[in-house]
Amino acid sequence: MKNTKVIGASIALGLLAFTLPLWMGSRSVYGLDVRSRPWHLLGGRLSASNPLGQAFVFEGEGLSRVEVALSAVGGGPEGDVLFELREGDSEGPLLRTTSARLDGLSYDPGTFVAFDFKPLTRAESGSGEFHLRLMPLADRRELSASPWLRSEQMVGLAQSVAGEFEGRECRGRFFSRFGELAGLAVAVKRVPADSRPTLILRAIDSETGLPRAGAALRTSEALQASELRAGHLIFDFESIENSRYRDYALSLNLPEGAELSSPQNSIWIPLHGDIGEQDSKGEGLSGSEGLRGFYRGNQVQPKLNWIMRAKGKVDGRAALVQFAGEHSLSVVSAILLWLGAVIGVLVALATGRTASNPD
Amino acid sequence: MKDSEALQGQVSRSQLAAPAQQPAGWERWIMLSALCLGLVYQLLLPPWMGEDEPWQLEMIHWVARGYMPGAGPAYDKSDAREHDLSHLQIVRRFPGLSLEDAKAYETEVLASMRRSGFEARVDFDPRHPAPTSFDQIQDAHSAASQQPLYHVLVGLLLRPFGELDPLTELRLVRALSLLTYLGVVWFAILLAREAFRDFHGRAMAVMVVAWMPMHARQAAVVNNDVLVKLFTAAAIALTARWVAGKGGVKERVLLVLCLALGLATKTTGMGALGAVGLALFLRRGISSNLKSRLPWILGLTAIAGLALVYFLSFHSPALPKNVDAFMLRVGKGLSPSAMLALWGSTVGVTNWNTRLMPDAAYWSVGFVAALSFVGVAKALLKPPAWMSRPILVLCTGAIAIQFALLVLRGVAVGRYWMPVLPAWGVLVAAGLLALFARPARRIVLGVFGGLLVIYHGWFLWGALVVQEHMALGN
Repeated sequence: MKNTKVIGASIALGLLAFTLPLWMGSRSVYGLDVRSRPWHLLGGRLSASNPLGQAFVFEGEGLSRVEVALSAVGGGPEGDVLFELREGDSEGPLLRTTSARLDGLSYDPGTFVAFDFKPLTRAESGSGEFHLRLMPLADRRELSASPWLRSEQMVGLAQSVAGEFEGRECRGRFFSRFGELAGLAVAVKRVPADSRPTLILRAIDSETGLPRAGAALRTSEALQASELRAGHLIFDFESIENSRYRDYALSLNLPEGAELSSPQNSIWIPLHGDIGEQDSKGEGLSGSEGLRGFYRGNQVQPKLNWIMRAKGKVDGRAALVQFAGEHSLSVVSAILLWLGAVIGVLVALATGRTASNPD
Repeated sequence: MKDSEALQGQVSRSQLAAPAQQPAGWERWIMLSALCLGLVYQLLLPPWMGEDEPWQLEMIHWVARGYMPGAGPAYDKSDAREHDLSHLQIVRRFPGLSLEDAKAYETEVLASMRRSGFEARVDFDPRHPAPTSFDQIQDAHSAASQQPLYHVLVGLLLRPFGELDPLTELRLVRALSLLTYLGVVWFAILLAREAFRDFHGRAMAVMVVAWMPMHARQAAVVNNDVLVKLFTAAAIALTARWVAGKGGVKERVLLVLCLALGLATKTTGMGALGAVGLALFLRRGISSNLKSRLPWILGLTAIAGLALVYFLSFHSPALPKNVDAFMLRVGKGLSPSAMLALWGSTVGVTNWNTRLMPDAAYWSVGFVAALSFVGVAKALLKPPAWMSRPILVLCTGAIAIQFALLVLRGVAVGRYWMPVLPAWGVLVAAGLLALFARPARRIVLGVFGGLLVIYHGWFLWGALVVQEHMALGN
């Protein structure tokens, strides 16, 4: 009789310790989920005159929450940020607006800021293509916050480059740890609108240790249609296949009014090859299933996307059903073994107490 | 509390004197429970989701294919321009192995990882479109610079199976991790028998070890951590028996063997050496003069010295290259972020340490740990009759030494202190139970057992299953 009670209590406890966490955990499942870490690239300060946006696809039902990874920049976080969700592109019909406070935002590791809104109806969901935009709320011109971005290229190891400055020109040396070097990013304080910062890359002669003479290895212009503040300036160029373990001389020409974040010791982030898909749920690696590019004003950068996630009404439930369906044998066995483990431990407690402490 | 009152809950003298190999009924049930739990992880932990599994399996694979670790060809910067570091390092470790073969196997493993959804689960994986080298997951990282005992032992066991695909290799080797996990639980039982004279303390200490989520999860992980944990747990349990005046020469020899094997497996086995050193001053009946301790002190110093030379011969990253590097590591090891990371990976983290549980989990477990520390302080000052003070001191010392080693190494990973997990179990049980009088201890044990099950369920079903399966849509 006593054993039956112990086993009954064990099964009850085991089921409680299995169903409750699973149900609660399923609420943290997202329909769109970009979690790549570490976060390297900043999109630039949020401003009223130059809103930052992201195009994305959400195929689930009843989109009701979007979370974006933001970082504190400059003077630190303050104020409220306005969130706009539009159907289709940046000119599409406005579906939802909401806001969030940016208190507690840090630079490292950055924070996901959540925007909750009334779930979209089936009619509102349309094709599943959306555009989100962030800007300061009310009368603020700008906020000390920037979205984190993920490049579709592989982010290599960042390194500090000691610069030599002559006017608006910066020269330094860069060591590439990997092959297929296809871009470089550097943090800037400001780059004015309608400017063309230029990067020139030269190979270093391994014998003399000097930049090779003649034509540059690569030249890249990063056209800025709108102003960039407290973000990364990204230079793309044709991939250099044999860039592994090689030194390069870089020369950066900045336009009037532009300024690097750390002029004497700038941090350069290499980008290698193309890696494509970034949504954790994506099946393939080519083409962005859920992400359609980062917008600064009306300028889209298709190889960059926000670190973001989005959730609908039934994502958790659907994931649970899919998991149980795809792994039914393992799941059933695991549940039975889990119950066996709980029974084992409670019986051990009951048996030990009876044997050792008859009172 | 009167001794007679405290002794009411004790086991009989005949049970105390029982040889280590005769488990009581409740101990069999705990072992059965641990077996079930280990099997759950065998079923639910997705392939390649144990930390460092690709690098560890690579070492095992080459032993299974007939190679043995040794000194292969050295490489320089010009080689590194042409070849990936992970290929060069593995070829340097296995004489006779070609770069082409090293690359082919890593490519095969990476393809298996991709099929299993690795890059989606591990948030720092850069998702190279056609990876051919482990450098493309994490640069300048390799198991080739670790002591190869685990890889050699497991590789030799795998050799009769012939040519296998990486996933089958992984599954077979994971089965061995289940055995090491059960071994650690068994040594926790041996240690708990010496630490406590009553059932409550013993049961709680063993439950902590068997049911600690990040430890139970290692029942399905391919990593040399699982073997060093087994040898260290054995060494600590045998040391405790020695301190308690039990066991003979055979056990002493076994103790030295476990110490040596632990050190030959991984640098994290070093903590046990400190525990044995501490035991010299705790052991019953030993003469207080230096002469009787000298052979042990010299022996332990020799083992430590040999271990350091051994680590150096494998280019072990555990050893700093110079004083500056050492100071940098200490600063890093003592930083608040390192402490937080250590706590996070102790309490529960999934997806190769990239996804944490909700904050409430860390605070709740932290509260219980803090409560037990208070109790341990109380027990050390005024030990109750149902607890062995020397063993409590031994366990406290073992934990302190292991944490000190982690700080000196500048790392903050929970699995690096787990070799002394049985000692941690004793401290938690001693601390929590010392705060209560005997009738309440029974209730405390029951409540603790229930909460431990709920905490484990939270980690397993609410974090691991959700983040490593459901969040991916598979």
